[in-house]
Amino acid sequence: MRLAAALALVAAAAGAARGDPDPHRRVAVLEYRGGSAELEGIGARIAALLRKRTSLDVVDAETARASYAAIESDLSGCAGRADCVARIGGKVRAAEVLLVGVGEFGDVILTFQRIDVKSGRAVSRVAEALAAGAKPDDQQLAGWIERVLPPTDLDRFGVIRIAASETGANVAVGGTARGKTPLAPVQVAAPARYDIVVAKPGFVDFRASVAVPPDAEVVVRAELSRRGERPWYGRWWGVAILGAVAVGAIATTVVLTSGPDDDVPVHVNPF
Amino acid sequence: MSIDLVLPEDPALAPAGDRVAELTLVTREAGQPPRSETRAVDDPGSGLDMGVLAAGHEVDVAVELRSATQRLLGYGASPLPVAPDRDTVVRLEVRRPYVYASGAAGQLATFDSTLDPGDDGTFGSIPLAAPVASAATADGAELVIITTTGGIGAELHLVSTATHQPIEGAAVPIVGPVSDLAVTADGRTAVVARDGDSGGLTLVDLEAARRGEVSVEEVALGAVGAVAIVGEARAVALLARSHAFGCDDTLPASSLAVVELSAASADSSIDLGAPIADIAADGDAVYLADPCGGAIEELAVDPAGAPAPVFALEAATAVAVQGGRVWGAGTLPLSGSDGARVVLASSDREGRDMTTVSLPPTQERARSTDFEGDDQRVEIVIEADRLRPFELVALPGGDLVALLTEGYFHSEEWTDVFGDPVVSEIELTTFEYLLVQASSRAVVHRVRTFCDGTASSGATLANFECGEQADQHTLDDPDMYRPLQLSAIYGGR
Repeated sequence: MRLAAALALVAAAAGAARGDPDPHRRVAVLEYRGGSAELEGIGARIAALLRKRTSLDVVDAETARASYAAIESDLSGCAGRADCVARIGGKVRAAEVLLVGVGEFGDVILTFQRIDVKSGRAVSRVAEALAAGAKPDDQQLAGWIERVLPPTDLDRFGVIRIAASETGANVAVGGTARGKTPLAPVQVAAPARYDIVVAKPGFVDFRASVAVPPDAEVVVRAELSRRGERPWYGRWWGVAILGAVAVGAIATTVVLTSGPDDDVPVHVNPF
Repeated sequence: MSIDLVLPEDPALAPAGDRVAELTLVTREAGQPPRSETRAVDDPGSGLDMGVLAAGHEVDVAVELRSATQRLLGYGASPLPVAPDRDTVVRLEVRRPYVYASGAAGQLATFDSTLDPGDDGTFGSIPLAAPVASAATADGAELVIITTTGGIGAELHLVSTATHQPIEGAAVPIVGPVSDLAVTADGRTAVVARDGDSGGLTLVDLEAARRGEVSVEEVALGAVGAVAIVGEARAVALLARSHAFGCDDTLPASSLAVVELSAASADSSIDLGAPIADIAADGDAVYLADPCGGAIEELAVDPAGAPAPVFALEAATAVAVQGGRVWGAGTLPLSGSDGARVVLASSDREGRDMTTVSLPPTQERARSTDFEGDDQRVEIVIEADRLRPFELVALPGGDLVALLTEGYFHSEEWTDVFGDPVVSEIELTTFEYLLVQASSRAVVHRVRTFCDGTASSGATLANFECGEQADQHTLDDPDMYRPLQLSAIYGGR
């Protein structure tokens, strides 16, 4: 039995910088408390989410403590001052510190402050007021992270590499023509699912739908069948794959179209 | 959604410049806590991406410009909620948070809260004869100012906050001694409170005034001491307002008249059961400064309820609301050798998250004019016997409040061992403008606008003039005035 398409995951570098902060930069996630015991472990949760949602090289407090034993007392001495926190970030070789602050002013005040280590300045800050005892879920935390980080940090990428059995075949990824085989790896936004079509006259079109994880390369082995041969999707397992693909494609479409329409980007014009 | 910031062109009034280091976007959906996003401002000419908002969810939008030391340099806010979508353009008039005091003979006094007392332009003025009340429109673009024209005559004027110059239009005549002023959120109606037996409210159509026309309606209520706007279409007028130092339970109980602005008629009257010193409003709730009850209280007007304490505050005589926080000013009495002192308190509208700031005991100095010496002088330091904070404005940004206080200072006669008087008995009355930073408990501005006193004769040192404290800015005799009322751009009263 011959498999027409095989998927393989390998580590890949993706998301080239274009003047935006390096999406792979080292970011230390540190927690600063202004006398509040609320939101226990919030820093560790934020670090875990960043690892999951971005390509950043995340250093959490526990990791930082291993090489910098006095980090907590030094951080406390900084009292939230950006230049001081930046110096601590430098000691753990971070390019940036995401300072997660927890204070109480009646409500619990949760702040996220991005501090650039090189300049010692806060480049963005988000503050949220929460009711005492509130336990924000991961979705809420992710929403706040999206607000404090540059959008390019959340623009994660994957790579699709088409390994076709025939040269000169036209390749379309997600409905966009990408050229002819042999084709250089195609960088795409991830995580996402893409419809892939590899077509050449005299051959049955190869069609597949692949899920591309972030920071990964998906290799699609496209075996083109000459017309008249029984194509790969004519076999029972081919039909099963197509059914699964169709369901997946619909779900993907819903996510992609409803997301951007719900969020309105806000821009302050030059002043 | 894009936001256009409209700043004054005059650099003396514009909040932009090298000092602006951060921009914060503050959005608030009804019933939700405010959300803020801050970006460093490296180049104001390149604009800033400020995250995302949920499409179609109406929010109040405000922008704060701050210095590297977090001082608020400029503020702009939408007067009405905005429903974000991709094509929405929000225009915000961004201004320095100026405070304006009426009461001087020839000008409206201006106080720039972004500057310190030693800086040029911190204390200034807008030339206008005898202003008695002012209020900024909710979009921050205009100041509505009432001046007296002699006797019981008064006039309403419009002044641009971008230029501090009068706006072309009508000077609207008003009959009656004016005690207070408020402007509706849509900027269409000025509600002028009139004192005296034939007092009431005068409703001035500001759209007509901008066209150079005069359109006013009057509502007879009796002596109105203060006014506030409730919701979008009603005003509340405080009748029998207490002007006492703290509690005077011999005064008659105050009442509140609820006036439907579209009908220009009193809708209902609420007996408040005690002399009330000040009112403020936020949405449909009215807040009262109850000096005898020792509290800032909340009152529902539709349907009418009974006042309920928001927080306790001894001798509460002034109240203000801004950004969802309720502020009150009261007084702690003389205690031992310490004079009376002003206390500021604030909380959210439910009385939670309370902060209290006790200002240092207030002192004044009386300087002898009888004693001649090249390098010596005699000054008597007098602690305040009584204080009355009577106007309170909370500035945007949530940390600065401005207030006016009246003080009474008394010093007993001093005698020598033979019983002969050496220093005469002294009484002083002062009025001060204070700008207080709540977070640091610091008095940022302290300006004494008025000081007058008497000293009994017969003592060796019998003649005195007002001296000055080290932290106090004072006005010379010809410029002194008793301040009447405060307002601030985007400030809450």
